[in-house]
Amino acid sequence: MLRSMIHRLFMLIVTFVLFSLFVFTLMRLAPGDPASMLLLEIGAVPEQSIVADLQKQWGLDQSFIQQYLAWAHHVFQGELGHSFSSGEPVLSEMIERLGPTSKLIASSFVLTLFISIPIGIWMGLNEGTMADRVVYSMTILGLSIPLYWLAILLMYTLGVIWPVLPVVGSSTIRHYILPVTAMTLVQSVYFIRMVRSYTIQYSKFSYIEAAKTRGLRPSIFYPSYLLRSMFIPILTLITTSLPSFFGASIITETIFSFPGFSKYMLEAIFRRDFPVIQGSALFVAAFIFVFNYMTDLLYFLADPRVHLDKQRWEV
Amino acid sequence: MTTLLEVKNLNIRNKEGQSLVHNSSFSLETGKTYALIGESGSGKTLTSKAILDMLPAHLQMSGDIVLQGEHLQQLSRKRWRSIRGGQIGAIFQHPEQALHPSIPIGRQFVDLMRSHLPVSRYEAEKQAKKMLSQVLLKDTSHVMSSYAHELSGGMNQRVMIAMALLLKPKILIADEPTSALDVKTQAEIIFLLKELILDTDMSMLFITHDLLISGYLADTIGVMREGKIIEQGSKENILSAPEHEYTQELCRHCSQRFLGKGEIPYA
Amino acid sequence: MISIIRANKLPTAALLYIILLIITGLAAPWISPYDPFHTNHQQKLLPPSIAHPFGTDYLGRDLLSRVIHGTSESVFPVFIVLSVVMLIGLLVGTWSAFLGNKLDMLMMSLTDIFTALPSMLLTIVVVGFLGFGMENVYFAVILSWWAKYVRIIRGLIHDVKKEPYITASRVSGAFGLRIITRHMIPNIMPQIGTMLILDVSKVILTLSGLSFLGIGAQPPSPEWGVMLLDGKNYLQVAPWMGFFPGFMIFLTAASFQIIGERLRRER
Repeated sequence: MLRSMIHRLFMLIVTFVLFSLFVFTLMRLAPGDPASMLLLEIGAVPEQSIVADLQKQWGLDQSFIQQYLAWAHHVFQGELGHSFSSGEPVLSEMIERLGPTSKLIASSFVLTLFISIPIGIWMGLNEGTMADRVVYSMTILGLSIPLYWLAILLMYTLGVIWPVLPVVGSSTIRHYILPVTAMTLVQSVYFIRMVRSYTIQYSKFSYIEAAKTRGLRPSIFYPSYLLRSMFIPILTLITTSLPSFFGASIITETIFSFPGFSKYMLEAIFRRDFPVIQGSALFVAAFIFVFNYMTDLLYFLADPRVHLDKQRWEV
Repeated sequence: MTTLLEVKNLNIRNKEGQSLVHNSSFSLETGKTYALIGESGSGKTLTSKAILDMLPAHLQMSGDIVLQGEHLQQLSRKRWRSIRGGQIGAIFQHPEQALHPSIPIGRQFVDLMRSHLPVSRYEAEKQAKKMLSQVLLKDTSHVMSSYAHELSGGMNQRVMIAMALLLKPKILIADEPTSALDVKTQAEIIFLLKELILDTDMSMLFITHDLLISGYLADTIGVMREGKIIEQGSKENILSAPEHEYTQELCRHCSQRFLGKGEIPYA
Repeated sequence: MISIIRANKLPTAALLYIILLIITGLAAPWISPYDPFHTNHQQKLLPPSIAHPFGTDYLGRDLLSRVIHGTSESVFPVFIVLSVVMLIGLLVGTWSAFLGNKLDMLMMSLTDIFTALPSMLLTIVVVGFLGFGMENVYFAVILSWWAKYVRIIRGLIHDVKKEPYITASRVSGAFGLRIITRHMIPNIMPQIGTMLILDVSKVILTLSGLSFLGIGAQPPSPEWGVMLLDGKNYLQVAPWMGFFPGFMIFLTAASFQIIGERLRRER
């Protein structure tokens, strides 16, 4: 296990380095010269001599690899630079905005699990019945509902026609209700379908059938036997859907003018605020890679027989 | 002698209308063992699943199964729960696949006991250990804290037997409990089962493809082929004077296996 | 034929809708009642009526005409993006399946990165650095989708490689590339086709979503996501402005989803 985890850690670092290289390459491919752009940004005239000076100062006359190494040296020390537009350090600006976003993502994540696990299991156990078929057909349509449209519909019904909830900002818990609802509804559809198919698959396993012949109490059987055996696929589902929650948070925060991290990141591209884009992209990627690594650790705890390397390569 | 379980005109069909078990009837007496013999695909396992109401959803069943005056098809879910495990215990061909892979064996005993009886965790563990020593497992504390994949096939089958007998059921359904084991372990498990039924007044429905084993364990034998029970009767009758051609062939085959002598052992 | 349609009412309806949609997209200039870009301040923010079935927007443009013209911008790029993704998937996936060991491992680690990261993140990085413009948006979407196809096609090719007839044709000395194009790829096409159709609805949602965020198509384009964004800003006074474009996105995505589900059940 230890060896496997160290291997994993190594892969995690390699992955992150590759991603940072990708970000750096794109940055160098960006149209316009960074030195003159900064000068324009602060309102100065990009004179040839000053531009050349800055380029030398930033090491832009060096080779690509040297530039990358110098850049990576700064980045890995946590120096993400200052925002072009506000002049504030990117790192502190990001941290300020993490609160609302993490609350938004975490609460819709938890809510999604609470809704979809019981419904999915119930559908799986009643596979093929009328009720299952009706709900399943609804999920096919549900997968096609654009989050941005659903959010707007919610906003219109509960914010305009029948104004019971605030639709802008994040100052109180009530502000979270609509954004969280929109995200949860869209994500639950996918989760319900997945949990349903796991239930169908796992309740056919002989140890689940055998447990049924022992007449276990439902309050013991469903959580400790059936759900427990589905722990690994559900964990994988959680890991693989973190990115889609992040994507959904960008849309949701934009629609509900939610002052969070995702909106901050999106807005940076309209201002062409390179340090912010770079910093937040690296941050999100690092978070996701580390999250994946942590869930890998959980696999071991869940099932002592798991061999990670075999599992991951399967499509 | 009283009839404990009666299966009347059991029919099982699949979606296409093909008959998998056809008009089977037999009964199980208190304290006796009924062996259902047949090759794979003959419908013997389906019959046992029907008794436990564990048939896959795509199969349709008709007929009547009566356990001590209760018609099993008409039972509520709740009543079924107390019958499974409480009145009918079951063991299977692959014991390691019948135990949950990520729950320690002791926990599975405790869950079973506490599902049926209002006992404390401590009491349940005590009972489980007692049961485990009855099936001749030595280091019971070690077994209780192990996972199924850490034990051998023979040990797992003993664990399964102990679990099936934990609540002192009236019937034990044993579906080919030894055919996945090596010969030596096979014999040990058979002797253990024999001992256990002699000690208690439990009945057993023993499902096998092996006439030799059923000759040793059973009081009554039913021979099943292509979904039909083609012959049934007392062990002596079946083994010494088989009427059906298929049974005769089985007997010949069996006696050849037994040191090539022309007589049936244990008969 | 009629019985097939009768058994698949919903998929048939979905297919008809898609055919109609494609025709609408191609024939937009001839069938739309008004000029989609013509502004008319006397007619702004009119609710749906007979003259303007979908109403008009804040510049007095006819929304139905805009939705019709938007079809080609909202739906057709999806086919281009997915064709490129599939082509990359086929080339790199097949290549990777035949590479074996080290290079294959490297390829898979590379795909690992792209499947693990949110497509929104990749899009923001690409568009953020390279600038707005549809070609960058398509590049970003392809970047976040190619890895999935490479992995799946690699897996499928691996499976097909083991099939006896492939081994047989290899033994008989057929040339590698020929086996791949003549036998392997046609063999995996049904599965890839189903996946593609299901993904059409996801890519539609993604592309329109990007336009909605202001990253993709730009005003005054009648792309549905752009129209939805306009609608959001006039939600209190003209809710129809957002409703219809959003509904079209939903309907189109749902049609592909329904057909894809149906095909998947077939397999």
